[in-house]
Amino acid sequence: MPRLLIILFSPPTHSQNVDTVYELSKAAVEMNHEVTVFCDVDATLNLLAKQISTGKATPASKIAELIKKRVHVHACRESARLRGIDVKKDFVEGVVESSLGRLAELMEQHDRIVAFG
Amino acid sequence: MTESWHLDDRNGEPALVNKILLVIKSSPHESGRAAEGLRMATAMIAMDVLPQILFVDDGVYWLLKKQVRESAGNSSFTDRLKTISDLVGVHVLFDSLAERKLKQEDLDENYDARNLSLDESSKLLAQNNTVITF
Repeated sequence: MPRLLIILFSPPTHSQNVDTVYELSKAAVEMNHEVTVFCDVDATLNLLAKQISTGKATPASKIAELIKKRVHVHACRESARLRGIDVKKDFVEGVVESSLGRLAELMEQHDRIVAFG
Repeated sequence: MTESWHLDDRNGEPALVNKILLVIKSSPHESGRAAEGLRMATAMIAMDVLPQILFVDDGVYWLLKKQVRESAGNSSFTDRLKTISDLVGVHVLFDSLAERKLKQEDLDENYDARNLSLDESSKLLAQNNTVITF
């Protein structure tokens, strides 16, 4: 199965990058691609479970929807820690605690890499 | 069949070898963005994934002599940058230096940055299938 790695740097409010990542990931999964989204630096703020709001398409709810569609969502542990995020409690269910070292491995394991931010 | 955005299913073959170029375009004092690029480069090298690194625009300020970033409350990247340059080498766009009235002798010789013209930079971009800007 073709593998796509998306690296996201943008926070929820600064651009439409999260929307683009959401649409791109959804389209890729529908085309039977395996997709991994790695959230680094401010992008870890997209993953806060408390930002899921019923009836509203927030970045966090879009991430949750991607996880349900079997997109692998990784979060840089150190980026989260520096932003006061408890990686064990605060993230959307299914987010994988990760690191830049792991990102380097993911880079080797994926066919294409795209970065947004 | 040529490579395209729509990836071909290669029946479980390993991923293509990704050649990755990290482009540092933010100055040391502008944001933490470029510092994250250097952290990423370090992590990649530690995992034996060797990136190429190009400093352009305000990113060239990273390479100046006698930068004391600690005084501005930033952690030191001097040693990190020296290690990165020793292990994978760094490139700098000559035009970005010239636009800022900087010369090769203004750069820290410890980094041994290779001066590239726009044409050479274009070739470097073309040689890599992934470019990440910081």
